[in-house]
Amino acid sequence: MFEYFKLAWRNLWRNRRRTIITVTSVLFAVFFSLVMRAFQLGSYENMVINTVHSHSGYFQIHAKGYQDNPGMNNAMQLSDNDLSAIKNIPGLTIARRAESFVLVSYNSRTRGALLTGIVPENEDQLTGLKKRLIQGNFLTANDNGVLVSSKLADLLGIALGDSLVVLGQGFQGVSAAGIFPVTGIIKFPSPELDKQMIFISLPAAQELFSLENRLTSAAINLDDNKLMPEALAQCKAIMDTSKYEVLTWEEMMPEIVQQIEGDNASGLIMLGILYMIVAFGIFGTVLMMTAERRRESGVLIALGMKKRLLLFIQIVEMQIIGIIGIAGGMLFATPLIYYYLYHPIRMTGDMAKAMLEFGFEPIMPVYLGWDYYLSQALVIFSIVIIATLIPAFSIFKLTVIKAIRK
Amino acid sequence: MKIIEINHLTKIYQAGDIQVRALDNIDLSFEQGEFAAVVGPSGSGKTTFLNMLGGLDKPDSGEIKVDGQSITSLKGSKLVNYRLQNIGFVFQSYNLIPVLSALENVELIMHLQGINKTERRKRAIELLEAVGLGDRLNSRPSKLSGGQQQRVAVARALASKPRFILADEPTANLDSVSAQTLLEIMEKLNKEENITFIFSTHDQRVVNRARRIITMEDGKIKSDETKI
Ligand SMILES: Nc1ncnc2c1ncn2[C@@H]1O[C@H](COP(=O)(O)OP(=O)(O)OP(=O)(O)O)[C@@H](O)[C@H]1O
Ligand SMILES: [Mg+2]
Repeated sequence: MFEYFKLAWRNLWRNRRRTIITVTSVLFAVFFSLVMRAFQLGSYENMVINTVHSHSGYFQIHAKGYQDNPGMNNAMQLSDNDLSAIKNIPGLTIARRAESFVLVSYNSRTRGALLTGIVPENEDQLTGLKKRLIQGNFLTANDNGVLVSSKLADLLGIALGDSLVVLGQGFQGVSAAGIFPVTGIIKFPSPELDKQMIFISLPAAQELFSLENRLTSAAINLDDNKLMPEALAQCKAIMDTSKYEVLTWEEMMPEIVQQIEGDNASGLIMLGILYMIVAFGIFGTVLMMTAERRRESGVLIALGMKKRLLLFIQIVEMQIIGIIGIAGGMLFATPLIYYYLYHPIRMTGDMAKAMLEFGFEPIMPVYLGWDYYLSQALVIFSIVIIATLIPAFSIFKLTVIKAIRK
Repeated sequence: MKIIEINHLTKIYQAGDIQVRALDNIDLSFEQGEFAAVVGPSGSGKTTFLNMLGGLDKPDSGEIKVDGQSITSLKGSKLVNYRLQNIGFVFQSYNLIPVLSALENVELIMHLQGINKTERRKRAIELLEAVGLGDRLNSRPSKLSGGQQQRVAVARALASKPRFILADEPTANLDSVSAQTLLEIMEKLNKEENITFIFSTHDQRVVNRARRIITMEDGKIKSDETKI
């Protein structure tokens, strides 16, 4: 075995320049596709994290039908048993909410707003709401005050300490009205959100909307992306699905999933083209090699080497090229990906502005994981095998006397 | 002892519209330990004949038996194995593997036979010493002269302990001194180790050394003389 490896290795360096060119082509393909993949997958991951943490959570529990028809009449009662069972799922925290569109007024000005009754600590864990506070104090669990987004505060002319009037519709059509002192001003990067968000404590919201202990939704946060499938399955097992719906962020926001899939498909096409180029490069190399070594192959067969073995040596030879190329590509790509993992590219200009408007940090993060490294390696391996086999099969058609004749 | 028996061996090549009888109903036999030259004008069928003996080509009719067993019916990997175990080849243009040293070229055959490393190394060194290349074991073919390369080829042919060695014009590419040396080595191996050599040649000096001279013409045996 070692002897054949030696033969393959030495054969490889007979035409040093050609081998280097072939190795380099594999190396560049691997390098480019890894780096490209790192940025692509990183941006998807970032998009998901941004989406999840901006509001929705990884998944939500609602009363059945709430997603299609949100409103107080689809509020749900979450039993203590269910709640504690869900809280026991590892790595999971739950943000209970009561939310509804309301009218808010101060003096003679009135605006529409999205009111969310929150458990402040849990909401902060999920969305980092506390960071957005620019004036005053954050809510406490049983707070009577209200947090108003800065643009909305401007529009109403309201300031810290002033009282905000809230009007809306509560559970079963009861009218909901309340007065809340402004205890804090929060700022959202997205102007759209900044002119309509207000937050009060969950007990205050439940009272306002006559919900008793009902919620409109419970958003689930996870310590890690990867816990999602397991946590989701457990949660679905706990909840009575005839009364509740457990919806993932993907189900609640299918347009984001579509956007990712579309972008991913175009990325894969790029990779496909790159791989085709590599495949043809190797194909050409093997074609030349088998032609050049016809005579030698004939001699080896005459002397008693089986054609199968000769083919095997040829494959080993090309796999060495593949392995060096793959290893080299990974060797060059990894430090770069590592660098960008800790120093993500900051976007500037319109792109950055657009991201900020969605409340996202304007960075281009990368994703580093063994999964796409492995798939790269496997794809290149298969390409090398296929691109080697096709021309190398001519070994089987070789007739010794023709190959040897001068 | 008879090792090769050839009966009614015929090979016809189709060259365009014309049929060429490269071998025309040949009957011959070879004994263990022969040193036989096949001679004849160009195109008389020498190479075709040696290729048949070596199992590299198939006759249209007739049969070759080696040690009583027909080789003309062997196919595929059986045929490859037959060649590996029974025949040593020396080609006109040496045909050593360029990326292997002299030693490795000789060892390769034994490796294919499954002989262990120590034994094949020992034998390869002995053989290269026997052909006078004990000091060039690690040279690649490109660093050796034609005569030296052909001597490596002879050592390689002997490595598998074959029943006989086939050499198609082994001296054709060599200068007269190298040809002389090669012949001496082959003769010595033949006399001392009783190795059977069958070679084709145009070279009168080679013919002179042969103990049996088979002359071919138009695919037929014209004469078959053995010196006493
Ligand atoms: N593959 C082939 N196709 C057609 N004709 C062939 C083929 N091989 C050999 N021949 C013909 O068979 C005849 C015998 O050829 P062969 O090569 O055996 O002669 P040779 O005695 O070895 O000649 P030389 O001394 O030139 O080497 C020649 O007429 C040759 O043209
Ligand atoms: Mg010839």
